[in-house]
Amino acid sequence: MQKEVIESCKAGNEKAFREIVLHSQRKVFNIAYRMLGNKEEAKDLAQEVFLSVYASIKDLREEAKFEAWLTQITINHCRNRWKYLERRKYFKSESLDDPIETQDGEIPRPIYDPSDNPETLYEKRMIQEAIQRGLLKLRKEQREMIVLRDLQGISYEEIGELFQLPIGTVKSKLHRARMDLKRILERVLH
Amino acid sequence: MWIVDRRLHLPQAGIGKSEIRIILVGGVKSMECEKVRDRFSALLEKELSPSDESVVREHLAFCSECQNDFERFEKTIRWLHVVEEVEVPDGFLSGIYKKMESRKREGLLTDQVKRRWLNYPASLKLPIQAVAMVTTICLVLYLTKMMPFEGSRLKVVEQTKAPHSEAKKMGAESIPEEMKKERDVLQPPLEKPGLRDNEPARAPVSGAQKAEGAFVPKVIEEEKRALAPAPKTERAEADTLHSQEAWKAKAAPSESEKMENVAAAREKISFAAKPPREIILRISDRAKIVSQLQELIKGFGGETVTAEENILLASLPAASFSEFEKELNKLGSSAEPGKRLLQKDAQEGLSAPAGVRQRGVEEKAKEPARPAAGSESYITVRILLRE
Repeated sequence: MQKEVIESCKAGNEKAFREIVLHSQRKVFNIAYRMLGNKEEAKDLAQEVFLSVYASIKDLREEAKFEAWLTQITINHCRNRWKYLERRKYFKSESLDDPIETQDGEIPRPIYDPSDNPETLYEKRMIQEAIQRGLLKLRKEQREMIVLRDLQGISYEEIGELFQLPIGTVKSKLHRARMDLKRILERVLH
Repeated sequence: MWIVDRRLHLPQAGIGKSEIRIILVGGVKSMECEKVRDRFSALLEKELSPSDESVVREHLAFCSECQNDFERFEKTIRWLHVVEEVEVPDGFLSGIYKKMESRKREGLLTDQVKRRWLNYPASLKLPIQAVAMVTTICLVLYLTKMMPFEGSRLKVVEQTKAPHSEAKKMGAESIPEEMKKERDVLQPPLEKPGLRDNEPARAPVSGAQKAEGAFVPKVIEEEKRALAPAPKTERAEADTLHSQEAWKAKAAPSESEKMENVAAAREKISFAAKPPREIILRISDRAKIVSQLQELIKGFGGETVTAEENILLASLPAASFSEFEKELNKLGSSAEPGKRLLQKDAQEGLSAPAGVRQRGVEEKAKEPARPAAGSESYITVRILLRE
């Protein structure tokens, strides 16, 4: 994101704000989707994130840290939304072992191993779905680590700054999260 | 055999001597495998040193379980990395603008709710504010027990219930002779009542009297004014009358009757309590003179209060007092005006001490239409008969 655009947005320029939204909406929406597992919720949350950006961009001191600042806002919104949805038992039915509902009734979830033929579209979709379900089975902190590092490609240093943790701690936490996700996925995919 | 093989690999796997003992006991596999599995991420991200990487790879080549585990881990990471980003739904940006608009409207609505009170017409706001203010004031007065009517009512009830005790209290107050003299000296001339109004109270006024303040009813003030300077000898009489009236007041059922009784009692008390003029009358025949005196008093519109052996206490209209005095001189052989114990001008009723009189003056100002009856138009005279 160009510094001039951020400065212009700070000055109240709506075009600049539009540019910021168009530039960052994909990242914000995907973080939200992976954290919440629902596109409607993710859309609503991402829009709230940009409303927060519009309201508080004046307080951003260093334009160079805009991306980290935006990620921080997104994570904070996700945490709040997660708490909100948890109170309403939103994630209770989310289980990898849940049967699939069909027109003929519920059938057991088939076990796939896409490693045999990972190129097929169907298998890709299955992997995506399994990953998303597996993420939702992780603890919040673990999910944040995997989403930011493995899905968004954010560096360990940035994650360390976001969570105010040493890089070593970030690495060990991320590794445990990956191992837990592996165990979760083993029951479904392997 | 299995343990021996493990031992052979120990230095290469980076396991220290302290761990050998554990290995020999039987925990060889779990300890080493755990260490290797903790390095899966580092191995995949190529963050291990070459020596560590070779040790881990050797272990993986030897341990099939760790090898399988590593493959599944690698697959998981690969899947994570190939997870495609989802597309942002349509109408994302326009949704943000819609939300902005609705937030602005909500903000305006909130402001409108806040300012709604300001927009009410004055015809509605003013009465509400006035009622609220009056309610607040009443509440404050009630809470601080400063309600004037309640205070005065309480005082009246107290007076009607226990006048005797109060009169006793008043009577019990011993007024030093020096103070009496001082009071005599300080008796104000009639022409300058205004100056006295500003003078501080010199007579000993009890705390209860002081506390009564401006809300004490008039009758009580009259009583106090009359009682305060009364000499000891007269106070006894006042006490008697007071107690009688108090008994009457207690017996009376209705409040209006009580008030009347109290007023009458105050009148009599004031009449009895006034310091009389003292006249010494030299006589030759006591019985004759007494009857003559009583007739004379009656003739001047007065009243004989008591007629003891050598003392005759009478009440005479102030207007005819001088005439009465002349007639008395004629009656007695050597009637001489006695020493006045206390200067008393019955017409003005200013014999009360300064503090009490000040309140009396205030009350006069408050009630200009007060009738000049009773205590103000009569003079009490004590006639001492000496043969």
